[in-house]
Amino acid sequence: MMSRGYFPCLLIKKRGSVIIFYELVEEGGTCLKGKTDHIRNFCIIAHIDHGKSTLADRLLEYTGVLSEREMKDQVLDKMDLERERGITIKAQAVRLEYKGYELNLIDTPGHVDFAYEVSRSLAACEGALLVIDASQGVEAQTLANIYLALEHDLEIIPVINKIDLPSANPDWVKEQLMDIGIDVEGAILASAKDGTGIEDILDAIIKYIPAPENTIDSPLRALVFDSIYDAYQGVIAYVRIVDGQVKPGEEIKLMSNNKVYEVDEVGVFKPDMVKTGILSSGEVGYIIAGIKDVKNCRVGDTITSAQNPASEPLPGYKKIKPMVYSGLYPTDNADYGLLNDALEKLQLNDASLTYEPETSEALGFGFRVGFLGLLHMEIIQERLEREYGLDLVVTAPSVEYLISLKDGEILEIENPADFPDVNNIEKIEEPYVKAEIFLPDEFVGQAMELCQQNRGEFKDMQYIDENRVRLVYDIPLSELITDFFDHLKSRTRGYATLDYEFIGFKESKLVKLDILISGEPVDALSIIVHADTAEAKGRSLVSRLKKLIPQQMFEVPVQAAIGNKIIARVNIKALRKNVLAKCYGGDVTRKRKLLERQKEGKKRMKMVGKVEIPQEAFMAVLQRDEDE
Amino acid sequence: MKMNKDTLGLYLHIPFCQGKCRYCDFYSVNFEQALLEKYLSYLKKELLSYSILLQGKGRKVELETIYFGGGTPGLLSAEELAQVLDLISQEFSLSPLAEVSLEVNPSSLTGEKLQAYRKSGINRLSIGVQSFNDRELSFLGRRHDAREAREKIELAGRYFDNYSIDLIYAIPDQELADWERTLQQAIQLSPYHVSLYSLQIEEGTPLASSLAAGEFEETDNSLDAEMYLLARQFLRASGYEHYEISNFARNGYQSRHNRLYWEFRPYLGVGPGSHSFMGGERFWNHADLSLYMEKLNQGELPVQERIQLSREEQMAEMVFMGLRLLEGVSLTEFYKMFNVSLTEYYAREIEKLQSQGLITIGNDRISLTEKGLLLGNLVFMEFLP
Repeated sequence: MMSRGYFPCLLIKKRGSVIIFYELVEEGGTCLKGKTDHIRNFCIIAHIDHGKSTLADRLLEYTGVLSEREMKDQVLDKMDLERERGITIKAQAVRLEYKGYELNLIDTPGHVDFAYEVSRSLAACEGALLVIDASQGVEAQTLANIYLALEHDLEIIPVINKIDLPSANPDWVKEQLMDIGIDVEGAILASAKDGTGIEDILDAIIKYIPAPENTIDSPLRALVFDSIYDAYQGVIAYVRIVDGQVKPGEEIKLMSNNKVYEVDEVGVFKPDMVKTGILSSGEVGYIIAGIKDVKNCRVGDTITSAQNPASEPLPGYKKIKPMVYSGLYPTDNADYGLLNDALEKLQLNDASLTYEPETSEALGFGFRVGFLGLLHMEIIQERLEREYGLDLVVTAPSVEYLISLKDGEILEIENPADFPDVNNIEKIEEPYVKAEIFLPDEFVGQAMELCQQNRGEFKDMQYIDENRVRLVYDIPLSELITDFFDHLKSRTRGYATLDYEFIGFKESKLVKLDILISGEPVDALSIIVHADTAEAKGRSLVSRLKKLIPQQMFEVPVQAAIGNKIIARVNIKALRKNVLAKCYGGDVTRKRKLLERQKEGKKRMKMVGKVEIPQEAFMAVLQRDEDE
Repeated sequence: MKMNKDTLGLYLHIPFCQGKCRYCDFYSVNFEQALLEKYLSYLKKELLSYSILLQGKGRKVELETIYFGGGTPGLLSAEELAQVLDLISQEFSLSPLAEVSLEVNPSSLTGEKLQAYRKSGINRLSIGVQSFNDRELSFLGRRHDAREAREKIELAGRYFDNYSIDLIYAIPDQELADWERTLQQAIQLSPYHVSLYSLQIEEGTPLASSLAAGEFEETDNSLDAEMYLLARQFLRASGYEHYEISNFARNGYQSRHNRLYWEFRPYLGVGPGSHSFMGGERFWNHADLSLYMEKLNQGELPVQERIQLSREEQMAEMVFMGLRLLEGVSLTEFYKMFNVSLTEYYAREIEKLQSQGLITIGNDRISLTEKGLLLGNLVFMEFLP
């Protein structure tokens, strides 16, 4: 085994400043910069809960990046929210040193909302660990990511995880993998929990994953697979150097927008950022170049040299568009400025988040915010409430509709309140997705019924093994963004998985359903629905609102209407009594706390006319009754 | 702690029961005679500590009311009660006109006991009747039936010329007619004072678990309101004054002790889980018998927490507690206390509540309307800082 190590080197910048950095040097003093045979770049593909983060932790621990004591659970998921939910939202990278090799692990987001980010992370690697739960087997999402990995020509090393569980069935998993064309010869049996197989995995990475090509003499091309914003250093671009090299003091150019910046610092993740003075072809690391806004350094973009630019950018860059929109309003109108600041800050780190001011008659001033998907929406909402302490009213999610007017004009509408007069509409088109559902065959009937109820068009059905089926439907995105997935789960006892991709706009027979409270239409409660299901939706919506809106001091009628036609009505009876009876033996503090809680609850409600409406009511359209 | 020259009310908590009622969330442990005796020695210790702490310049603190609550203070023998009361009269200055109340359950009353209580210095009983309907009594987990309740109330009347009965309404499955019968029987017995409590399902009680398990449904607030209004009408027609949200009394028989709470006046609570208020500070004891005794053993007061109320909180509490009394809060008293006008300080809140028909102002007082009596919480919360 060769002995290699990092030794300090000096670099004198153009402007005269001196940078100390650490260089990988072989025994005898040969600098390894520019060589690539000791580098392996890999990612981990796994379904949620199959143990990706735990495995990543084990690899970090085994290679001594972090001692057990230093490890908080799952180091790579940096946000509390990520840790809590067991999901990865932002890509992360870390360099492991093992037997003289430099192994770069790129941890990718694991959700369909972030499919594009995943594809860019995969593009930065030569190989992937495919982690499969030994008792759960291959899931839809895993499969989607396997196909993605194969598209990028990645070497795949199957890791059958959680073999310590009594329900583990590695042979069954191997069969499944063979069925989808994965070579299981080198499959590794592992338990990230107890450390079984970790050394085998590291050895397999070196043995099977190819070293990156050495193209240090070509013009610089670095793939941005993520970028984050730091208040002190500006944007930190996470990059894979595909060709050439980059050093501080050089000028770089973003190829999508031709913006030029001077590099302040480059380095690698161990997992904290460590300056290295140079990054060269094959390496994974970061570039800081005084970029002020992540919007100017988007995922998928190519960084090149300003002086000696590459002729072509790396393939695959696209500016991703939001799929789901909803209105975000502060419960207290005075918090509008805070919400604006918070969105601005979140956007610094999340170029896929879009927002613009919007006004609602019922809710006042707020924002129409665009998200990649429902999970993305939930995450943003939760971060706004948790990290910025905001109390929000969130309207039901909506998609973007293309409305052609009779005069030839085409409107893009994301907010049901902006729906034009029915008489002026020529046609309405809505976004459709291709939905892939994987499930045991015994549940196929129920799943198909659900898809049909949601206006799904059957496309394909195939057996992927003896008893597992892949169903394909084209389905309006607007149907998926209600609680389709929850219902799919409950109808299939949790066995089904769902994956979807946008396929285009299709014409639909849609109407706007309005909700009137105490006779007044509440714009924030309007939804766009298919004409055939409008009445049923209207009825179930008013009955749900009846449960959600607390009794007021007067009777409150709640009505659903299409145009001028009332299609459903319920009455919320007046509140007759609300007073603390007991004395509590002089415990006035307890009384005060009870009152404070009631007052707090009231504060979280939105006054619409004279009626107090809780935040949940604005999301009521999200749920549907099973008996509908 | 600030010295307080005012007269005080004294609350003594007797944390023992022979079984817990299903709705009760006051602190109590299973009754054992030996433990009770041990507890009384600690209770005396606590009383002595406060008597020393509170008296200034050789002047004893004057007590205006004494209230034995629980738990089940009726488990104390007359002799044990007398010992506690003797200690109190040695260490505090007890006015001969002081109201000395004892909470009792019908099932534990005997003529002998009642006579001995009277002799020991108790001059008012608060009898936990709760209902004159056997089904309701068993639902609540009470250990007496309607017949025993009636008999014991009559018995109490032979020895006491001041007693109150507690009734609970809005019990699941109770109909308006059931409530009417309970009220009629109560009025027939002509107690001096009646307290009415709408059943509240408190967290952690057996009733709360039953509710969560779907064994019954909570009473709808509109029936609750009907029952309340019916009781108000019945009792007023029978010569009772409705003087506090939950309390009715014949002339001259209002609960003086409870009035201290509503009038924002100081009181001292002793025993585990009891609450005190003096010098603008609220504090309370550990609601744990062994911790309580351990603290006293270590020469400390068994206080769990103290909260000094801000001026704003004091104002809020004076208003929302005072509004519980039908006579309301005196604007002059408020001004004397805080040197600010109540109607000016809370101008916005008052305007809103007046327009909602929940409060009224007149004769130097702010008070609840009949609608406000039913929706008191909506009024009270407006005054919170």
